[in-house]
Amino acid sequence: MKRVKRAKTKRTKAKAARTRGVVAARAGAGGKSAAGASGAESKEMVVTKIRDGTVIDHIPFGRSLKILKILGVSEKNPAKIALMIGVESRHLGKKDLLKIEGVELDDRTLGKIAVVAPTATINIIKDYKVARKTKATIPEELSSVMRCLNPVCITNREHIGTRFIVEAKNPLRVRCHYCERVFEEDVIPEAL
Amino acid sequence: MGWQGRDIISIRDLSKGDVLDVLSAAKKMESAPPAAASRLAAGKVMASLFFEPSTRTRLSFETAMNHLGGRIIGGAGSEITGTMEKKLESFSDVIRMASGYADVIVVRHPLEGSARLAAEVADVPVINAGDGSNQHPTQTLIDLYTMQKRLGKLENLKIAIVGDLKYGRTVHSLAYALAMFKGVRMTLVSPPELKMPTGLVEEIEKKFKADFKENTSLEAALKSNDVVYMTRIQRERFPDPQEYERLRGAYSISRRLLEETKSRAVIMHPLPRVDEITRDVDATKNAAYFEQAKNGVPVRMALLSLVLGLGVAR
Repeated sequence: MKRVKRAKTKRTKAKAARTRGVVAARAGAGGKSAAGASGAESKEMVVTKIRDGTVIDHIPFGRSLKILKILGVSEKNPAKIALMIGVESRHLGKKDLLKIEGVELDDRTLGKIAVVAPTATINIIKDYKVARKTKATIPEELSSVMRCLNPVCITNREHIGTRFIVEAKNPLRVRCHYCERVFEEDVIPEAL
Repeated sequence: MGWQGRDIISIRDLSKGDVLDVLSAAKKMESAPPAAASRLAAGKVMASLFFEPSTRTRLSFETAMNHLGGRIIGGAGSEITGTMEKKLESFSDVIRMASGYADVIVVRHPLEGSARLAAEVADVPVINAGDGSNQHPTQTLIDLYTMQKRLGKLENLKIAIVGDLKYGRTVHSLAYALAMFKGVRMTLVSPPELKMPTGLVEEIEKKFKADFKENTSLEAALKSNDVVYMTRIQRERFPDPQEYERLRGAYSISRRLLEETKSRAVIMHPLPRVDEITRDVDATKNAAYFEQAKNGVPVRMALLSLVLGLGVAR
């Protein structure tokens, strides 16, 4: 599944330190490893390029598992995904990174991802190249993105979608359109 | 925004201009001869759907519609919820059905956000008569109307809001609405356990640049305010009955306390009271809470008339 080779030079050693992290990969039906070494001389942990799909970079450290939950990945619903946790990053200190083969995420899913990973960048890959690169953007309103954490909110009893008005984006603060309860960034991941 | 067909769900949906429209219409309703209003809503039907018990709100809405010459369908408590539970009918379906029978729906429900959902599924205007601990906008309008009647103004008032400021929906809406008026200074008086939620105070301060103070002394509040707004510590909002027993008598106004503090403050209360205002206060000039309950009728006549597009009694 993963191979990390020793580098010969100081430069590559330093780079290897910056990119060291946990590599986990799920192989879809018939899939081989999603991560692998690019060459015998490199000490970098390298994840193979994907042909078509989505790369989500600059995910805050530790939030990629939440994103997997949003994507609905499980043993019953496998997807070809490469996941890196705790990769060193100049801007974030540590970051996570996800590569998803063969899937172009829709706007609703991207909205959900933006809620848990507001710093994320989304790269749409077509034929091994970045076809489109966007920053994760939290929409002005979150429709059916999360459940309301107020147990006596009507949305938890009637079969209706939820709606949250985004009152602030950094840090994230949302208000339930129905019960008017406000939720801050620290509790929102629980509701996804 | 025009009034006809409009839903009244949350105080957040109302501007200062809207509030003044309602107060002005209520004043006209109250001062007009009864016959002037008695045919305004002829042929109109109000669905009065109280999914949880209510005395003042339900009676005053129904009285208001009667004064306007309209008719009322509906019920309260198990009259409605019993059938729903038996038939596993959803709240949305009941509202949708009532919307086919009535010209306006007045709804109270224990779940928060229920009135907003009702407004989305109904084809007729919906008035929120209380959705759990969330909103009770018509009570707020009655409170403002009572203050305006008693003190002749709403600007530059000093108001102490006392008691359960954490769970009480009435005081949340009231603080929000009062902050719309220039120069209003609010003092929040409560035990530490029942303080007004910080998020709400911050929201009101930010939106209206409101002036809040916090205090724990009822005596000081009686001495220095134009209005002292008392609230009941509500048993049903407390998960722990022992905590309820400990706090229920924490803030209580008696005639003796009024005399000792030489208070000239108008004492208000959304009712029902338990022991936060003793009976001997009722006969004082300060007491305004029964007048406040009575004001529910003209204010709700005004609201019904506005959302039904009926005009105002003259």
